[in-house]
Amino acid sequence: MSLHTPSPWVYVSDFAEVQGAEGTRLVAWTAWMAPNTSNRFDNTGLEVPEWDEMEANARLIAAAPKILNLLERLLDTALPSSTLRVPNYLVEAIKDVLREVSGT
Amino acid sequence: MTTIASVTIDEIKHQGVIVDRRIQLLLACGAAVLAMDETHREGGVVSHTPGPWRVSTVDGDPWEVQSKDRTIVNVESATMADACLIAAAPELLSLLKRLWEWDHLIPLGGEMKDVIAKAEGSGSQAASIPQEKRWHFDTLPPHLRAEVELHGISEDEAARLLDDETEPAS
Repeated sequence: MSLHTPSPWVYVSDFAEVQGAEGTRLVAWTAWMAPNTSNRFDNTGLEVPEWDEMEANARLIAAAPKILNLLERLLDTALPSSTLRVPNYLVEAIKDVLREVSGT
Repeated sequence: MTTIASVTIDEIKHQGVIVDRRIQLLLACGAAVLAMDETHREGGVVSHTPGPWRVSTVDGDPWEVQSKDRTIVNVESATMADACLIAAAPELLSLLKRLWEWDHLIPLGGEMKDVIAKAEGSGSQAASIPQEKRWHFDTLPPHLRAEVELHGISEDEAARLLDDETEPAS
């Protein structure tokens, strides 16, 4: 079980940040990373995504706790009680990534 | 891209067939570069930076989440657990989509569609049934198809009903 900041996580485009449940600023795109500037690379030499790609990343990040929760519920209760048999390789892949997230 | 195309058109006009081969090569290279640039665009909608993503640290604390060649996000008050979750997000989404695409009658399928739509910011696309799975949906009896589409019953329940209906009488 991951000990991440409880959801919901919200992407706040005005501040280019993703906030936790109590409005805490979890992650952000800081000024030097701001898209549409002349600086296309940050101080690590990595490229800074364009604005629309950054927003796509933000949406995904904000949805991450829900995706995790859904996959956990699928593995724990929904799939075992279902008539459908999900292929083993998919179940194992989910278990692997959940282990990765929980750090176990 | 535009510059290459423009130059090549001029060269085609003035230098004929020999240049034309160079142009073809240039255009092919241009198309390849364009295709690379479009790798994470689906239906004109820009998708997230392709995974894998990783957490970079400073003195053991999460500092950034990065892909192979891009900075994804700067960590503010996020904990290491948060950062690990963020770094795993592309893989989590990919697995969720694979599950849903494997069979849209999967339990929690409706919730899956919603979460995928939220993560991708494209409700209509996420809600559509993948072409390769339509046979499954289309082969449902009309009354079950209607039930699923109208969300009158859960998709799992529809699958169970279908199993019951198709089970040979003993």
